[in-house]
Amino acid sequence: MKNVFVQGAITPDFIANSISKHQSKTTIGAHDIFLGQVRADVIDGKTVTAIEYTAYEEMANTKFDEIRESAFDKFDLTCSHIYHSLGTVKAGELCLFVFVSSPRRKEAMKALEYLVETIKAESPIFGKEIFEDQSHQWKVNS
Amino acid sequence: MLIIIRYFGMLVEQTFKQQETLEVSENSTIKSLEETLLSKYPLLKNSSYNIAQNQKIVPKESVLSNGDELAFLPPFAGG
Repeated sequence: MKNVFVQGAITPDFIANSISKHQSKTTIGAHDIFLGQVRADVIDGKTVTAIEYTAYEEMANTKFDEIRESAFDKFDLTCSHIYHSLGTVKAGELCLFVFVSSPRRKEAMKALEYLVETIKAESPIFGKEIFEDQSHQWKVNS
Repeated sequence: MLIIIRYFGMLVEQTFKQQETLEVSENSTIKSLEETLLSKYPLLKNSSYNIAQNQKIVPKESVLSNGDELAFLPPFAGG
């Protein structure tokens, strides 16, 4: 089973390397990528400076496997990768990287939307929003 | 029989622990376990969560087995 979790923010270099690794797979005609970035939300006058992510890791890795497998069943994909941060990710840094590749663009785009929405709804990942004054609240996906 | 209970996210702040082991009687259900824990940790009553049994979210009528791992999962926030 793949380990999806990365300690800290996902870097732009990591993403570029991931793209490079796929250049040898010449049946691919389209990649679609989603990047989730921590947003500096303002809540009751306080600004989010970071999110600290934790997860029920064993269940999340199994769930990510299931989600990937179901994307391969539903869509014509060559490749699919999911990476999510654990630990502290500052506002402006990346916490989620979903990468799909297909011979054709329409399949890649549909699969990406399916993957991102399913990940956000079904993965046991938890986010503590940390404010500039070090107080916090717990994030809930909408 | 012994079961393991794990807490995540905001629930750790309400139980002051990440994990514990509990002795329960044969034929206990998730519901009966939940009732025990709600009286032990009253702050949980104000929280929203799902309960997973061995990494699957199941109905609360589900019967517990020796060695089960139960996880209390607050709302998800991935991505």
